[in-house]
Amino acid sequence: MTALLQASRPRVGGLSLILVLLLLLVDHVQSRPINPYQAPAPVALGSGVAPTAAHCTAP
Amino acid sequence: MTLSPIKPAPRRAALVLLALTVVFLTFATAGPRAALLMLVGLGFGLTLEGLRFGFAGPWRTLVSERDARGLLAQFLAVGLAACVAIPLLASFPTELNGAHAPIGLAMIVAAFVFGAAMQLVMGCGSGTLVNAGSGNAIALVALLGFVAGSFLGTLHSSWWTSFGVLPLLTLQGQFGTAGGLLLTLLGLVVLAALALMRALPGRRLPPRRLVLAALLVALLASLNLVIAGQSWGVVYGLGLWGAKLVSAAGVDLSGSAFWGSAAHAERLSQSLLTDVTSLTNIGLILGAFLVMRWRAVPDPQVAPLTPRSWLVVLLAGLLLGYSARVALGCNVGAFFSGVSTGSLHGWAWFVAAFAGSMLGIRLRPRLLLPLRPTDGSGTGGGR
Repeated sequence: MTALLQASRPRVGGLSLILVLLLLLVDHVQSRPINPYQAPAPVALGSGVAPTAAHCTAP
Repeated sequence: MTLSPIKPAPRRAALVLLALTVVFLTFATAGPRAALLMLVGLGFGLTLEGLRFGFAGPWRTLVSERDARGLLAQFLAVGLAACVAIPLLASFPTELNGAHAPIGLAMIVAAFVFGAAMQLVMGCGSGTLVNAGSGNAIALVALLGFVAGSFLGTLHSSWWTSFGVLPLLTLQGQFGTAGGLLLTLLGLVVLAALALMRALPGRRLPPRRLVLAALLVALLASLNLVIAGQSWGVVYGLGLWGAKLVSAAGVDLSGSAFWGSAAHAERLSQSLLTDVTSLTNIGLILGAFLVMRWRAVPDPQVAPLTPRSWLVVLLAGLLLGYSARVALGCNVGAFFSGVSTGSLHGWAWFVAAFAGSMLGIRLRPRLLLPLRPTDGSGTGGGR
C-alpha cells in the first residue's frame, strides 16, 4: 500500500484509468443494455426535447 | 522513480490513439451525444491539467500568498460562460436547464465544510478528478473517499434539504435576462475588485496562459450546456458511481428516497455511458492523464505522508463528497455553473465555501504531515 502511494505519477495515473475501466465493466454487467435506437439527438439545443439527465443541483 | 522507456514521439502517438479510441468506442456504444460529451470532458481535462487552471489552488494563493491571478481567471471564465448561458437559457427554456437550486441552511453549512475539505486535499470536484488522472496519489485516495461520500450524501440529502430552504431564486427570474446577466457580471467584477485589493503588485492580472484557460473552460462549459442540455457538473456522476458499486455488491437501493425516485432510479439502471456527468468526469480523468504522459518529464509525485495523514486525506475526500451532495454541487456544479446560469445559490455557495477554505488552509499543515522532512516536492501539487 505504501509503495503504491509513493509510485510515480504515470503509475498512479494509470491506476486511476484502470479503476475507471473496472467501474465501467461493473456497470456494463449490471446496467440495462443501451438501445441505439433510443439514443438522444447529438445536441440537445434544437432537439425539441426537454433534458432528462441528472445534475448535482437535483434534490 | 523510473520513467517509461518509450520515446516521446511513439508515446505521444499512442496517447492520441488512446483518446481517439475512447471517443470512438463511446460513439459506437452510446451514440453521438455521448461521444461529444466525452470529447468535452477530454477538453476539460486537457485544459485544466495542460494549462494548470484550477479552483482550490487559486483560493489558497489569494489567502496565503496574496496572489489573485488564478482567482481572476476563474471569474473571467464564469463571466464568459454567463454571457452565453443566460441568454441561451432564456431563448431555449424547454431544451436547456441551468444549474439552479434553492439556498438552504444545510446547503450553506455543507459548502463551508466542502471549502475546508477542498484545501486539505488541494482539489475540488474537478480538481480531484484531474489530479487523480495526472497521477497525484493524494487525489486518487481522496477520489475514492469522494465517491463514497457523495453516495452517502444521497442517502441523507432529503433530510438535510428539509432544513430552512428558500424558494429557488435566479437573477434573471428577478430582473429579467439582461438584468440578470448584468448583475451576474457586476457581482463578478465586485469580487474581482476585492481580490485585486487583497493581491500584491505583480500578482494581480492573470498571465496569458490562464486567460487562455479561462476562455477554453467557458467555451467547453457552453458546449456542455448546448450538447447535454444542462450545465457542467461533477458530483452527481461520482455519487452515481458509488451507487453503482453498492448495487453491484447486492444492496437494494430502491428503498432510498433519492435512488428510489423515478429520475435517479432510471440513471441507476442505465449505463454510465448515458450519464452526462459520468461521461465528462471520465473525460476529465483521461484528459489529465494524457497531458501528464505527454510531458517529457512528468511532475514529481507528492511527498509521502504519514499513515495518519493518508487517513485524513481519505476522510477529507469522504467529507468532500458528502458535503458536495448536501451543498447541491461543488466548485463546478454550484459555483461555476450556478453563478454562470444566474442561480443565487451559486453566490451563497461561493461565500460559504471560501470561508471554509480559509479554515482548511489553516488545518492543512497541521493535519497533513510529510513522512520525512520536506524534500521540496511538497504535499500539494493540486488545484
